[in-house]
Parts: sequence; C-alpha cells; structure tokens
Amino acid sequence: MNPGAAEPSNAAHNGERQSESHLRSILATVPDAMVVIDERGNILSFSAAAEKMFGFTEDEVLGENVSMLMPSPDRERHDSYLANYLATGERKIIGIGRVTTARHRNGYTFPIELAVGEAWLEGRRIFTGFMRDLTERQQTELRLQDLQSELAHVGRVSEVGTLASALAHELNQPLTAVANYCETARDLLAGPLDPETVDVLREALDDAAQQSVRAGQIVRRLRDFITHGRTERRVENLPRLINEANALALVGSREHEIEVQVDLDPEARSVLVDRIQIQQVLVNLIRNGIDAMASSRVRVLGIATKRDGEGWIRVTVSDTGSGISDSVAAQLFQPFVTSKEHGMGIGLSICRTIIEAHGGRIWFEPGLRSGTLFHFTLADAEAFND
Amino acid sequence: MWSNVRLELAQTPEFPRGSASRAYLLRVPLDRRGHIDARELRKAPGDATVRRYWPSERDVVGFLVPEQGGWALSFDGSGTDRSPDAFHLAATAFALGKKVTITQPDGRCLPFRVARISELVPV
Repeated sequence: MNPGAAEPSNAAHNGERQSESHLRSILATVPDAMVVIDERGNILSFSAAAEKMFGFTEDEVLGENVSMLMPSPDRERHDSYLANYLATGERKIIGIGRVTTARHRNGYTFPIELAVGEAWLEGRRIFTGFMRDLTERQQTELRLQDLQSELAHVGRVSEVGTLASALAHELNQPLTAVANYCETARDLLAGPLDPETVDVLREALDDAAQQSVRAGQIVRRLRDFITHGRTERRVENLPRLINEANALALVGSREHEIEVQVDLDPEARSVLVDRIQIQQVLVNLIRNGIDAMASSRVRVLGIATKRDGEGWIRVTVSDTGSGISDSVAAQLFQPFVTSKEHGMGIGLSICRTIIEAHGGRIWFEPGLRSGTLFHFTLADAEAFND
Repeated sequence: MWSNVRLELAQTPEFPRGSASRAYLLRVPLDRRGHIDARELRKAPGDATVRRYWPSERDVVGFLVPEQGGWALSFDGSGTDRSPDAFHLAATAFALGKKVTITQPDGRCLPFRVARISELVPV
C-alpha cells in the first residue's frame, strides 16, 4: 500500500496484505466517495465512487497529495491544516463534517459534504474522507432539510419564491387601484374644473397616494419576512463563511461547468455579522452570476475579499456573463426589477436591505472584459483590536 | 471549436509514472487538425486561458500569448505581454495521449501528456 516503505518481514507483509484486502472490501461497498490519506496528506486509497466523482482512477492518484482534489484556497493550505492538527490536536473538520467544494479533473468546482475520520492502521495514523456530491438538486434538497437548522437561509430563499407569487398577487390590487384613480383624475382634468370636480379630483389623488403607500407596505412586509428573526451578530470566520455559501450556491451547477476562482485576502479573517444573512446575500449574488453566464463560452465565477484597513472588508463576486443593461442597471436594487426571464427581481433588493442593516454598502460595476462585479462591505471584526 | 485541453505531467526521472496532479488546463480554439487556431484566438484573446494545477500550490490563471514558434503561457495577469516569467509551449497539434513539452521560466523542459480534450459548448 505504501511503495515508499521499507520491505517488511513476511509475516508483517501477510498481515498488511490482509488488512489491505479488508480495507478494499469496505471501500467497494461504501456508496459515498472515500479517500484515505496518511499524515502527510498522501493518498493511500481511492474508492470506486471517488473515481467517478473526481474523474481520476485510483492508480493515477495513489501517492499524490490529496490537495489535488481541492480548489484554492484549500489546495495550498491543506498541508498546513494537517500540520496544525498533528501539532495541536485541535479539530476543525475531523468528526465534525462540513459543506465545502471540490475540484474535478476537468477543472470545474462542485459542492460536497465532507466528513473526516481518524484511525490507526498498522501503527500508522490515517485519515479517511467521506464525500457526498451535493451537485444534484434532488439529493441536495434532502440534505438541505437536514442542514436547515444551521443553514436556514437556503430554505428561506426558496420560500421567497412562493411568497413572492402570493405577494405579487396582493400587490396587484393597490397598483390597479392607483392606476384607476389616476385615470379618473386625468379624465376629470379634461373637463371644466368646478369646485365639486376639484374635490373629487383631490379625493382620487389622496386615494391613489394611500394605495401606493399600501403597496410599499407589502414590499416592506416581504423584506421583513426575509430578514426577519433574531439578528445575531457574531464574529465569524470569513473564509469559512464564504466557502460554505459558495458550496451551497453551486448546487445544481455541474451542467454549466462553472470555473470558480477564489481569491481571499489573508488579512481579511473575521467579520461581525449575522452569518445566515450574509450567506444569503452571497448565495444570491453567486446564483445571479451563474445565471448570467448561462450562454457564455467562458464561465468564470470569482469570489474575492480585500481588507481596506479602515475597519471594512470588501467582498466581490464577479462573473463573465452577459452583463447588465443600462435600463436595468439604473434601478437594479429595487424590488421586482430583473433582467432574467424567470426572475422575480427580489434578490438584490433583499441583499441591499441586509448589507445596509449591517452598516455596509453594496454596489456593482461592469467587469473588465465582460460580466459584472458586485461588491459589498462588512465590518472588519479585527479592526476593533487594532 | 473552443475546447478544454488538459495536459498532465508525463514520465520524468522524478515521476517515473507521470503525475496526474501536475497539470495545465488550456481553454483554446482548436482547428480541425488539433492546432491552436490563431485566427479564432485573435477574436477573443481574453478567453484563451491556461490554469496551472500543482499540488499544495495555489491555482493560477494565465493567458496564451502567441510567440515565435508557439505560445507563451503568461501568468503575470496582463494577458498581453510576454513576461520573463512566462512558460512556453511549442506549436503542436493536440491529440489524446500525445506528448507535448512545456518550457519553464528557468529553461527546464517538462514533458506533458494530453489527458483530455473536450469541446466547450455554451449551455
């Protein structure tokens, strides 16, 4: 199993072979992808399901560093994660499990649920990673129900759809009324303006104003619902928050083969936020980006952070999609404005509500070559300690 | 036709079996014979990218820039200049399993094998 090891004695050799065949029989039956690594991160075994998930055969990856299956920034950090654990025993993933992203041989990034176990085999410490692909929607929706207590925002995002159609119906009433009152007023203005007509006119305009206030209240109710609940701001680890949101947003994206480029400022470590809400913003922006790239040849989604040193961290989500037309751009953060064929146009107005409630701001600009960059700012939790 | 071409390290003294984890992924237009189609590339030079995957190293993205006898793989971010840190790929026709050579900035040549070619089709 380890070609680099010294030649063992015959008895030990037999024992090793036995445990190896035992391990293999387990591997063959495990439905999840399973990857076993040693203390240095080198791959000792790669299950059939893992071969299918990543596009490599076991033969091709044996002895390679497991970081080859990860996108940046985990790829370059995994060696230090391992060294850290071996030195301190502090568990960040072992026995805990989390949603994260993985890299297919074809270059695209896909969401997985990862659980890691630790064991001793023949006096050697090994780690086993169990992975479940969260790409396929059906599977994921089941998983998400389990994760819902922690990641309630995903549920909320889909509830928004249902709620939005109900509210659109409800909104229609005041809007129709406003239109009717305005038309009446216009017709009255066409005739002679005696005092009685002026009174009716005033009444019609009052009613129109009232109905538009009502429409506003309906929209506010929708926003309250979405941003509702305990707003608990805590100091959160930003890279982890982003990684999780990214994985969730990529759900169902495999057919688009999205190339994700994550570029995180090592100085931008922690933010003071309601994690669920900020992840909701990220999921929204990332999904918008993916949708915008549906007909692009180049589908690169970028997520970057930058600490500005004055108490703020800027988060940028970029795509190489079709961009935003000027007419849509002018009112992009208003509710019900959308460039999508099947969108309600609620997402970005919620994003703005959430970011502004956190004291930050959100804006966008056209990308350098194509697509759009969305930026938002968050309070840097470390600024208070500087 | 724009395609993704994955090149993986072929047999070297250090890696007698090659190494699937040391790879370049080119996104380039290919002509019918498998050569990089320079005319197509000129229409959208920003789309012709190269990603470098090396274990325990950060993913880097660069651009393909035409040069004498082949292509410079430029990772300096400009996408236009032939930077002194560029890697070099000699002009060749890509075919599955075929060997190609990439010259490192220090002049060292490494052999790579074409591991996969897939056409890029907008969804």
